[in-house]
Amino acid sequence: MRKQIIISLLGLTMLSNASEFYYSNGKKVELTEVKINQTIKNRMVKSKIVKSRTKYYKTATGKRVGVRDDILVECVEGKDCQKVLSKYETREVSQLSDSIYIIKISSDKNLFEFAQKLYSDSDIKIAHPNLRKIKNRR
Amino acid sequence: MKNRTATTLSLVTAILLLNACGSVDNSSLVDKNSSSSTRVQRDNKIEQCFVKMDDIAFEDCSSKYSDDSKINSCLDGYEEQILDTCMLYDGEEDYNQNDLVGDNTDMVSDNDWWNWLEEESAFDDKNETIAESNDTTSISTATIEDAKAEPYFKYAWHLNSSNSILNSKGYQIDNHADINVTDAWAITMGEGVRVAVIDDGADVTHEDLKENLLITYNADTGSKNIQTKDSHGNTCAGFIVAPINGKGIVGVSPKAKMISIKLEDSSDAYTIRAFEYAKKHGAKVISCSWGTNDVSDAIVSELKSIYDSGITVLFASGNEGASLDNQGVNDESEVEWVIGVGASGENNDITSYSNYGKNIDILAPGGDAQDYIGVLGLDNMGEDGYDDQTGLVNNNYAFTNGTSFSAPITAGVVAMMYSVNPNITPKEVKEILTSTATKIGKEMSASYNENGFDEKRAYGKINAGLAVAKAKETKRP
Repeated sequence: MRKQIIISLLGLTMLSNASEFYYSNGKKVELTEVKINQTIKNRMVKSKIVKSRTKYYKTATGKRVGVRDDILVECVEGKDCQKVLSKYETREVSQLSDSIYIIKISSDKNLFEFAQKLYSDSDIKIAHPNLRKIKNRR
Repeated sequence: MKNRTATTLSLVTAILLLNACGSVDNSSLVDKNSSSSTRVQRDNKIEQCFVKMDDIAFEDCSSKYSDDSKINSCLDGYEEQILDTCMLYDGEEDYNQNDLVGDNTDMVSDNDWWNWLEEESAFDDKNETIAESNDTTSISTATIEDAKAEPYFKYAWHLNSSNSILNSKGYQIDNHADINVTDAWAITMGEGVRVAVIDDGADVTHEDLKENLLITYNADTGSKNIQTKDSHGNTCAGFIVAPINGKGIVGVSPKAKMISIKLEDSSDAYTIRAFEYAKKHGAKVISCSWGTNDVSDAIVSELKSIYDSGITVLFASGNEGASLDNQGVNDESEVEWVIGVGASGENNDITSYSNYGKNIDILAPGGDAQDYIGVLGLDNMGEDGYDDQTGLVNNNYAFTNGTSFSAPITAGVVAMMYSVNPNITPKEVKEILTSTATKIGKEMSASYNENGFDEKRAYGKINAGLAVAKAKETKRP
């Protein structure tokens, strides 16, 4: 019984990790969450150092990215993106530029799975989390 | 105290290591006399984050333990988390968002982003410093001779190295290290063109910038307040539009006007917002002296859209002296729709720190403050500026280096190309810049192929005089 529970938990963990990727330029970008001790994070949030709702990840090449609950989407040229996105259960859809939209999803939905689902839509060209990245001054 | 010093040193070392590994901030103005603590204070917010975190870690560990070795172990436990977190510092967006939309939970407000952009004037800060003005009513009548008479023109080897008196001061400057700007100035000085710099803000009161600062916009907050004591964005803007006003330096395109956009937020959405603002407000050239080495698809799409709308975007290639063709690197400066700019130095060859690769297009002076003197740019005003270690200029100016400054110097040339040919396309701009470039480094290891491309030096160093003349020739009726 105990073994079964452990295997189930491992399986759930693997499944959970397996969903943490997005597509960039047609390729999967796998992510590993950067765990931050909650006590420390709370103090950092209080000190306005980090955002409480941003989750941090590392890519396979070591790049660090942060995500929240928003996704950037661009539809295939000629498609009415508002209409395309209306098929999905979003909390909010806003237009950022002529072609790029930002959508917000509810907290009970998995951000990465939602982005993957959008990306698999033949009417959608780009769908990835609104990524927070380190901008280095040069 | 001993422990704390050790931790601080350890973190600062970590910062330096991280810098060496991929985020060297050569934008720091040269200040060889400054202490390490001053450097940290003056450097960017990521480094401020390290210092704040160090305080928190020390406070926490010293409250838990009294034994030195235990405190040290406790601090060690913090280190990786601090590194991971601070490298992703993403500003104080929560608080700015609250100020704007009264909503402390949502990144995207109930107002849509586009309306927000349209209505940004409704959110003006009380500290608003610059209002949009008409750039056609304030064109300077200054001449080339006036430009050459600017007090520090004699140190501006990037503009006119044969005129530089730095050699007589003991600094080695190759007579051909400049960009031949005076030939371009005989045709135009950038009249009628708006150039945007997307960076960390500017000192809007600077004596050698404010006349040409047309519009300011804070993409992080939606306000017009971009005032900062950090000098990076200020320096970038000055290399492009520092006016001919009898003070300090002169920009490459001193009669163009500046749209200075502050962007510190790390998200793709805010970056798009900054570009959209520049487009909407008439920028024909956008200069960016930053990068992620990991450009998102949405940003590439935005850059294509900007390109298609006739705007030329330039990105600095970065300061690690590395090939951007390495696996896993996908930098903004390599995007097809932008001009990627590396740095040349006082010796008229590529600098040792300049990143390079098959998708970098051009070099422009960025200087080398370590082995030579660097390029002279704006610093913050007065006491906020660095003391000049050379004894040549006052505190409002400083010698600096980095591809950060090669990009705006090139942007200044591009502004002049638009000035003589307002309908020139970004494709034509790139073709002209690369085809008129000077093939430098031939006496060194340069090996330009049949297309005129060298692995490290791209198509060579920009030649402002030739580029502007050719842009004028190609003007369509």
